[in-house]
Amino acid sequence: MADIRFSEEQIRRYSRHILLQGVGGKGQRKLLGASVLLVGTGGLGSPAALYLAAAGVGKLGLVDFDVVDLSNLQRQVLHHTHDIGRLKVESATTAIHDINPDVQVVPHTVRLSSENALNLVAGYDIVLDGSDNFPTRYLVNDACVFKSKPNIHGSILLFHGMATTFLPGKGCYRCLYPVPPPPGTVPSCQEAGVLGVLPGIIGIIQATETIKLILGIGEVLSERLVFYDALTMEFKEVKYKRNPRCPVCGEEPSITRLIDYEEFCGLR
Amino acid sequence: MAVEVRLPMILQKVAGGAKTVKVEGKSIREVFDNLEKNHPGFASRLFDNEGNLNHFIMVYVNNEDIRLQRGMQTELKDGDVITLLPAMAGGEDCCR
Amino acid sequence: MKKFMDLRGTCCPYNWVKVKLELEEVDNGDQLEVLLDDGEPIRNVPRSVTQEGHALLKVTPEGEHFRLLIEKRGEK
Repeated sequence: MADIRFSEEQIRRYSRHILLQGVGGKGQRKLLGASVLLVGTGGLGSPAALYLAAAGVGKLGLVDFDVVDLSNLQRQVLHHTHDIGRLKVESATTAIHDINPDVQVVPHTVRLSSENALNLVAGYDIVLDGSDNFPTRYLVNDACVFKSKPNIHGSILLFHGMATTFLPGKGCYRCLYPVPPPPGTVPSCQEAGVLGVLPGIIGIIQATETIKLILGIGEVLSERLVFYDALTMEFKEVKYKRNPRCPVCGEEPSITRLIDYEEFCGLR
Repeated sequence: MAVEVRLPMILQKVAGGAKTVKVEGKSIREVFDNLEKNHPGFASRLFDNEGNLNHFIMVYVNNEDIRLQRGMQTELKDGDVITLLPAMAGGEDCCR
Repeated sequence: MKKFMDLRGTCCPYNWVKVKLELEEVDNGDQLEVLLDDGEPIRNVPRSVTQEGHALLKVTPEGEHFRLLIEKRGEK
């Protein structure tokens, strides 16, 4: 990366990064050379993708099989009214290029599955989980553990959200939540709603974590989890550790390859 | 001896809409027992059929996971703050 | 007074969104009669009705549909 010369336009575009102590031209080259896989281009993935693109992250992989629906626009800021009915990865690609044509966008118009997850995850430096259901969350988690990829986690419900960064060997989603809630016990956003700006806050925390990780600056949210309450505007931090008995990342893992996640989550 | 329990939104209904409740107890076990006594319905949400704490809810005492301490036997001091954090997924649409 | 809403063919969560809006308009004690599809709608809407503190007075199957009788209870 070190031999890439910035164009005049890039110098202007990234000047505020280059000026920053701890980033500089060296850091900006790291960003331009980095690749991030965004799982989901919805509430969380939208703000994350916009800021990663603006920051000049070189390659963004987008996994989403869905099309833009009118009800998405209350919070999924990558997509616009004229995009309704379009594939989300397509409208996301347009939005990202409108912000920064430097970014290479790789659309993956698939549902992330046990068949394709390992290959997809392997092709990127970092995975940003902006998915909207438990089977995908556990699938992303396990695939990241198996491929030793950092998993930037964000999740939301109603007025609350949480974010953390799972670094390889430092605990995983299963260390926090070994099993998902049985279907029907936790209201989904579709049942109970979600404050539109909430995924904005959490998705931007995820983007911040991703950028710090690429730059190698500051302290990422590893072994820490931030819990956010939009109603009281409180950020609460709690600690966690890798569970030595974790079925995936523990000392003697019982799960060593991807499983049927719909079944695991009681949806089959 | 009283501690403060901060409730996630999905459990606030059981406590009549309260965001936090004051509960007596010297251990997590005692606090949860008293929680059920004061607001019937908690136990069925916190524990599975065998009486084990549900794995999709994390329990914190002053920001420390009780699993890294003594679990349900974790001892409490006056004024401790207990936080319950359930897993959340995101927003699914069912009409596909 | 009793209002009626035909929500056949209206999928989740829009059926509940419409019922909720209607319940916000009427007075406590007023009744609302709703016609719902089988499947997700009949599983989700009654649950949301009671979760919001309203009374589900009657659920009557009508062929492939269900007729709900809801009574508005105090604003939360």
